[in-house]
Amino acid sequence: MEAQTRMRGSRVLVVNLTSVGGEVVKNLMLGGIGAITVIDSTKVLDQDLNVNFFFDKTQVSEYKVVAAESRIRELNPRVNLSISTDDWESKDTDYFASFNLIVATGLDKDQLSKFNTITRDLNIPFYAAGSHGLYGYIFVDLIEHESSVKYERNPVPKKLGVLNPVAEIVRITDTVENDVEIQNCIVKTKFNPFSSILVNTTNKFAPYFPTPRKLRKITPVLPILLALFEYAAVLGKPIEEVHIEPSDLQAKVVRVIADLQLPKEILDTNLVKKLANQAFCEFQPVSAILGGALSQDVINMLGRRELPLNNFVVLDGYNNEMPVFNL
Amino acid sequence: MYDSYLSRIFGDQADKFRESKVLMVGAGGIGCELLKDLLLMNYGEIHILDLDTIDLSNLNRQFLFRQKDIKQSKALTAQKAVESFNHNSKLVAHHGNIMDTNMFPLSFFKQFNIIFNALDNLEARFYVNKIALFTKIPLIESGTSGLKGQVQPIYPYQTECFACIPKEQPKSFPVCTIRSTPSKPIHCITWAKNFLFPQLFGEDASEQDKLKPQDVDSDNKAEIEALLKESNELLDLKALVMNAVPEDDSYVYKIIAKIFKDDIERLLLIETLWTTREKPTPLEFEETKAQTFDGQRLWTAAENVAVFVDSTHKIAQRLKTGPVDFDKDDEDTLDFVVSAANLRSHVFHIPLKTKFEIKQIAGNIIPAVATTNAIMAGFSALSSIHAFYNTVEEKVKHSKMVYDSNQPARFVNSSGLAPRNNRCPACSVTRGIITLDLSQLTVNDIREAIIAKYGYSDDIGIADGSRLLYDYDFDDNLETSLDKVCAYGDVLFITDADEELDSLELFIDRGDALELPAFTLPKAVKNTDTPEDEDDEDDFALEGEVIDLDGPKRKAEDEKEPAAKKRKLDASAEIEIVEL
Repeated sequence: MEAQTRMRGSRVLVVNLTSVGGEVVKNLMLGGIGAITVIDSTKVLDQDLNVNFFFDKTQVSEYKVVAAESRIRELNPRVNLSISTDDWESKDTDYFASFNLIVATGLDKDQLSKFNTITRDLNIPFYAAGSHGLYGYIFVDLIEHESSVKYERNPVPKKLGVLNPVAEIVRITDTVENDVEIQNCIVKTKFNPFSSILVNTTNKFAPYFPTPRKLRKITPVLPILLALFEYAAVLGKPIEEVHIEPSDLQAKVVRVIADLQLPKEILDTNLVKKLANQAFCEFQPVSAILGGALSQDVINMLGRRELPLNNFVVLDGYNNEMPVFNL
Repeated sequence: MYDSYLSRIFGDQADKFRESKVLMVGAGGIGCELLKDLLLMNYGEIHILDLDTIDLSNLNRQFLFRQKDIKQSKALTAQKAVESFNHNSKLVAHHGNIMDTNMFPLSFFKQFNIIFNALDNLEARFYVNKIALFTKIPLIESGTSGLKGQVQPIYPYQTECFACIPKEQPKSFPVCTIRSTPSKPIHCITWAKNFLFPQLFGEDASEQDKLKPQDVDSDNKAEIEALLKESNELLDLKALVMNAVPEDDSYVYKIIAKIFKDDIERLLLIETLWTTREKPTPLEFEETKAQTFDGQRLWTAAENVAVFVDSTHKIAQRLKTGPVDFDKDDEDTLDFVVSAANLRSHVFHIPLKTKFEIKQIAGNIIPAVATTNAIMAGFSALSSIHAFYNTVEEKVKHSKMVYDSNQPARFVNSSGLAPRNNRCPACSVTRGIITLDLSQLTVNDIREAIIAKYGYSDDIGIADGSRLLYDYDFDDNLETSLDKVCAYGDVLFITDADEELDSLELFIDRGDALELPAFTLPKAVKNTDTPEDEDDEDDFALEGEVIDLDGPKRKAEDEKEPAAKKRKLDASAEIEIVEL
């Protein structure tokens, strides 16, 4: 019940009505969040029709949020919906301070760093997501978060203290639910900001990938997605005008691998070519998965339940894999 | 162009989507999401099939449906709802039951390149799985339950099919536990909701509703007799309810005396039931003021009597304007189930429960979660991109099964497709399609045709489903016309009387002339080795919305569960209890 109240009391800002952004908006509307504001200054292009179910073909060249407004509202009339065609970068801190959660999609490295600095200053949870064809990511910064996680009592029960390098159990209550012994753990989780995800000063992979062999198993998609942050966002631009040289992307991937102190073998040249071609493409099933995972985490976060995603989720839609890295 | 992203990502394969016809079975929670995804992948033709109509409770997650659509066909409404974002696909909606062989004969399925299951019950899933095996059409199976879910691409006979791994059936209890020897609150709640409520307030009870000896799973004769008597006396109670007048609730006490006292006394006479169990105590009660109480606290037995009188009398009055069904959000019906379950628990010395707790259990319930549906539908749609490789080896190699994960290191678990199980009751069997006109042939006609076609040395046995049509010492039906004993869509089981050839399954499809599938039957396998370890059990038998006799269908609730493991997943995976 308390979780419901928190949902209904939440004001969420969704920045950019991309394909993933549209899925997030749909899920949060259905979830019955209190208020949603969608801000996007770009207009509907032909290519958006095939990746965003809020637009129809008569609406090409209208502002995206204006075109989508009535269809979004229909999903749940009880949600307080507002739209804005302003450029989010023109907004001041006070504007962002009026929300208690921000979700941004389709942004590049500089924009994300800037935005995350604002949300950290304001102490607002921040989510970001984007996709490149069959691949995509979710970035989560809840700064510090406490949630309750229920574990069935094992022969080796949970103990107070470190759960993993970023999470700590601070309280345990034993209960019995339907004849099952449950440990209800309050877990405190810490997050790293976006600015830290491209550097590695703390040997950050060691706790999760303790041996060289395990380190080499890190998906080659990770450094490529990180390298793609270096390219300026292409919102509102026809995909035909987007060209990324595989060699240029590869140089950036090599640099990311070096910066993160990952093994060189992680470079997958064929995959770099594939992603150079698919970069910034949107694809509906990929958007649905990213938008679903992000929204689920938002709902859990607001209800203070379950362990949150922490902090970089990679979706490999070709292999149906979704590893989560703590960067 | 609207499809420029697709061309960029898939190149020529984008055309393959456009040239393909797919079937989506189920337009509910997963279906609404999946339809949107398939449509925006520009599949050329999408058939939407669902037998259901839209219910108020669907609206908070089945995003294609609105208040105004309530009671309308899901399939047809979904089709209309996506018009605005349909740019290239031909949509065909079918309002009907997938298992209806008149509406959907085998020839209907043969037109599709891929079948997507978005179903909420095991029966229909096993059926579509069987259809996929008969037609060899790739099937992408999906299911969710709360925050859990899975997607399984099935390439018939190449990979594990839906029946290869035994599924955990939604839990049900032996009738006798519910009717005679309850030991847990859930047994009493099930009894109140599924037995007593329909008996007293259901549609006019007919002969059909009477309990018959074969319905009772017990070899205790005395117990069967007691149950039968009790059941049939309940019909008399129903008459009391139907004739109730507003100003007099005294008849309810007759009902209480009958169910919680007389019936219990009768059960006590059957001594064998109580040799290892605690004996129930028939209810002693006094007439009281009909009323209800705060649902958060536990009611006493006397309070439960008051609520039982109050709710029974209110429902009895409502029956005059039409039937009343149990609905956990209908206070009268919930009060009835709570008080009846608690009085029974009291009689059997089982802990009572609060109204709040019983509402959760009786509402049965893992709430469906919109985001899980969106995620699993996304993986289902995504899995179909591998169905366009040229060879089946490549299709299988690139496909993955997806499960929910409770490991912080990954949002989903995925694994390669397992080969088919040699002992699978569905896909290890030789099977084919027999086309014929049932009205033109007798049992003997097909018997002779089958013997000749596959070279049986002597005679065969023929069964339609589990019903024997012919074997060497049952030849009564030989000259019977097939349309008297079989229907299109049935499956014939053929066995070799000499046990030399393997058994055979033939799906009966409508056709003008008798046609039997061409293949050589393998030799019968003499199965002597022991069955595989039972602990290979899997728990991906999830359903959209679990409607069964049990309460929240938690993994942990299953007594034999601790040893069970998710196949191919980390053995260390922790079991998370999903609470919403």
